[in-house]
Amino acid sequence: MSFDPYIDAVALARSYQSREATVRETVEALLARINKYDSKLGAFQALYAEEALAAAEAADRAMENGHRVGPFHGIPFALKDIIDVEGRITTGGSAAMADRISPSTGTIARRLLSAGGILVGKTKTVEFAMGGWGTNQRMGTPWNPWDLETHRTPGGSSSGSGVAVAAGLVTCAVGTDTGGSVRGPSSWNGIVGLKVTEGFLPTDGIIPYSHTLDTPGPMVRSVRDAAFMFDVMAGRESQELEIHISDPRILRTSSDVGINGLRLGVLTDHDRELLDKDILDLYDAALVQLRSLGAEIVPFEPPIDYDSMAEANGFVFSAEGFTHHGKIMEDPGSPVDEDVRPRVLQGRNIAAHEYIGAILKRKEHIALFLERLQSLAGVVTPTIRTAAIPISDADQKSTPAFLTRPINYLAMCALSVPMGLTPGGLQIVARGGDETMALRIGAAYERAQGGIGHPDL
Amino acid sequence: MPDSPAYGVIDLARAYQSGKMTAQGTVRGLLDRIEALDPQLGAFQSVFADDALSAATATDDARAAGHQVGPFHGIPFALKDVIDVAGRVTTGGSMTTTRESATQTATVAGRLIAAGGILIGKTKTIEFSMGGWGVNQHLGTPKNPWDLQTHRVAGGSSSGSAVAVASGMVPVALGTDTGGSVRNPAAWCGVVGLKTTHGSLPMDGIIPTAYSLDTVGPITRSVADAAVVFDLMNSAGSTLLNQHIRAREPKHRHVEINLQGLRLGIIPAQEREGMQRSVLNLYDQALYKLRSVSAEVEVFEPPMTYIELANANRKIATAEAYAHHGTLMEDANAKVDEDVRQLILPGRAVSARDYIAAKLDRQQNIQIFLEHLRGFDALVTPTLGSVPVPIERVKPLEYPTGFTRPVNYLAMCALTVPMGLTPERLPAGLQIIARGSEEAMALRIGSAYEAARGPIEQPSL
Repeated sequence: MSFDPYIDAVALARSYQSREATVRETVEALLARINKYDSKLGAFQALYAEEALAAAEAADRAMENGHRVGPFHGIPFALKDIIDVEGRITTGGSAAMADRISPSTGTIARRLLSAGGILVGKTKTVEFAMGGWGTNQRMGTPWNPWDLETHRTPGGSSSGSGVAVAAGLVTCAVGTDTGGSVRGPSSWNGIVGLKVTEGFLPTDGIIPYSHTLDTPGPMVRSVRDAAFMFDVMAGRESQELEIHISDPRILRTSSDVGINGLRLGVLTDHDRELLDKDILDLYDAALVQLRSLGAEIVPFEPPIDYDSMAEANGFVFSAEGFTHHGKIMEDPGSPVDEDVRPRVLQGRNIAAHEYIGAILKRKEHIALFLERLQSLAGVVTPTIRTAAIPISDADQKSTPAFLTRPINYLAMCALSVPMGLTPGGLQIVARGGDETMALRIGAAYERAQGGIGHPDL
Repeated sequence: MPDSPAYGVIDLARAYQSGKMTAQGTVRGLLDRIEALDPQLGAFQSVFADDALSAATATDDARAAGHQVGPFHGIPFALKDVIDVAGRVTTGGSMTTTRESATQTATVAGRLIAAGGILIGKTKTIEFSMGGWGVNQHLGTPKNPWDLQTHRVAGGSSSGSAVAVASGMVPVALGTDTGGSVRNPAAWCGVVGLKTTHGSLPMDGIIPTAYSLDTVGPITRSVADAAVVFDLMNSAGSTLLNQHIRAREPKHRHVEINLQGLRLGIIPAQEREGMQRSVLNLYDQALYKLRSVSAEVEVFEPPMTYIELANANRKIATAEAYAHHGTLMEDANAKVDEDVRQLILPGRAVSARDYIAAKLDRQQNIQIFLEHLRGFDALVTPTLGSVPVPIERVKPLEYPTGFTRPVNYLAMCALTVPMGLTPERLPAGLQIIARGSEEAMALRIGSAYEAARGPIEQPSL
């Protein structure tokens, strides 16, 4: 059969099972595409072509001989290059760490490998994951694949993961999200990204920015893939994973329930004023679709405005980011991204009591917000206020993450699902620990929306 | 002097059950005792005499009408005055706190009330629980009941709770512990104190000292009482109390007496330096007793010295205390305890980086410590390195020598059990440290030790 580079992981797993595809051809085809397009796109920091091919052959042989470890067996994936894999270099997007060998394999990476996944490579990131535009002065800024004329922002910090999945270079990838770093690049690259509730997935073996707020999450081509990969990352038994691929209609237990009768909060008129026209149009179309699916749409006024929560989130990660990376950034001789340096140094003058005060205030705000949510199943907003912009227009002193950061601050979870072109994502926010609700809403919306196609490479 | 009710929680519950005592009689007896003794001891910040008596009458009526809510129904208790009860003032040991009543009841206090407990009063504390000696410049320093001649400190910060329990004014009182504030006063007053694992009990409605280290726990006259009250605070219900009531021999059931197979770590020789001889003697006797109930006792070399661990705890506590109370302490006109001010103000200069790094180090040090601990079921140390000192010998800006603060730092739990009296007739405590969430282990060892030690004297009041 002819290889579809945009096949999602669930369909790929099914075609392995039916022997319509082999892991080897799949990996070969992806490597060929990477070879062809990545010199332009620059999504990958490191490629493990030989090892991936060898693992692919082994996976085929194992599956042919009745040793399939589970539905993720043979699925190609990539890791954001802040995630350690023992013996491989993890740069954290920093030229200052260009030779850093990972001391061990982090739990998340190990789960993906032990589920049978094939690690194709590591993807570009903003230095230390500290930025929302996706730029990296020294290690390179991936191209947003939706515009090959103008170099537009890929979104960050998981820039390479977003580009690689969107461009059909790899089936799925892991990103990390401290203020929007999974959702931002998912939105601008027209893919699906899940920001998982803090504390739910282990973060060992991931270079920290903010140990309080950092969360790893899947970046994928479909909502069902987000659910599938999330379960793999959570270490679920392969038996539980089989449901993802055994029945095309089944995503998770509640996926096919639809959203009839759910009450969803949406931006108030005041907050809508902050959106660019093209994003606002996509957002309104999305709300029409959600309504047509039976959801009740309710303007939702957060008890603390989004900007203040974004700022409060920034305060917490500045203090923690400086603790982790202040030493490198304070040394003027360090070869670091000069846009990132001042962001990290912002954390230098924070006093312990201010930081502790912010942590305590955060707890209060979480309680207030949950109280205000009441009967709402979730809140939907655009993921980012604008479409991707030329990187030369990116104001490095500002951030595109005003609507995503509040979710980290509130210890909630959120899914970004493409709304249409130019790519812009719908952010579906659910309570902490309620990923199932975000996925359920996302699955219903995705089906109604119908898909946005693929970039023309 | 009204009769000294040597009654503990379990004794009282049994006496209620068998009809030998009434809640009304008990509460009246305790109130008389408070009236007689507390002008001298100064354990209570406030006493709710009328309300406690009404509640006691209601308890007796309810019981007579077959509506006993459980075995804790009618048991008097006291709260350290940092714990909120709706409608009552919580001073936090400070002159400055608002005189408005609390609007909510702390969950742990609410659980004791819901179990039928009768709140007798609130007990004295160091201002905002910041310190270990038990001194309070403005609201008064309780007197250690073991020496009525010299004003010796009771230990702190839950000073009033320990004095009230030790002097028979109440069978149980809650304290809080950020670096030793339950264990220090329990040790110096000759009673039992349980420092619970951080995060195991809800801390809402309790004025914080350092939120990532603060814990709440019971101060009682026996280990079994501590276990029973801990269960009630945990909402685990009164099963344990019921078991004790039904048992023929209420305390020290034989299963708890033998420690066969347990390995206990003791302090290495260098840690014995700087400790009072008389306390060390009691400690060595305690180790002998533990061996006599078949525990294996061996030296445990911690990966960091106890004083390093204590200092690391202090660094975090100071930064957090400043975050909680810095604004007040910065106000030169605020009538705060000047020693407490001096302990909290250094928190201002701590940078977020240093604090966060200290917290990250803590995570690592906990791992390292637990790895070292492999093969040991618990550690036993003296709780404090000296007997209670006269108030003028307090070194207000230092912490009393001892082994309590490392336990908070390491997110473990610990029980202090009286070891008896030194030749100068002053008490000292044995600290039994168990891994986080292993209160049952600490209580089991404590119970066996308590039985092997045998009964101890009460202060003569």
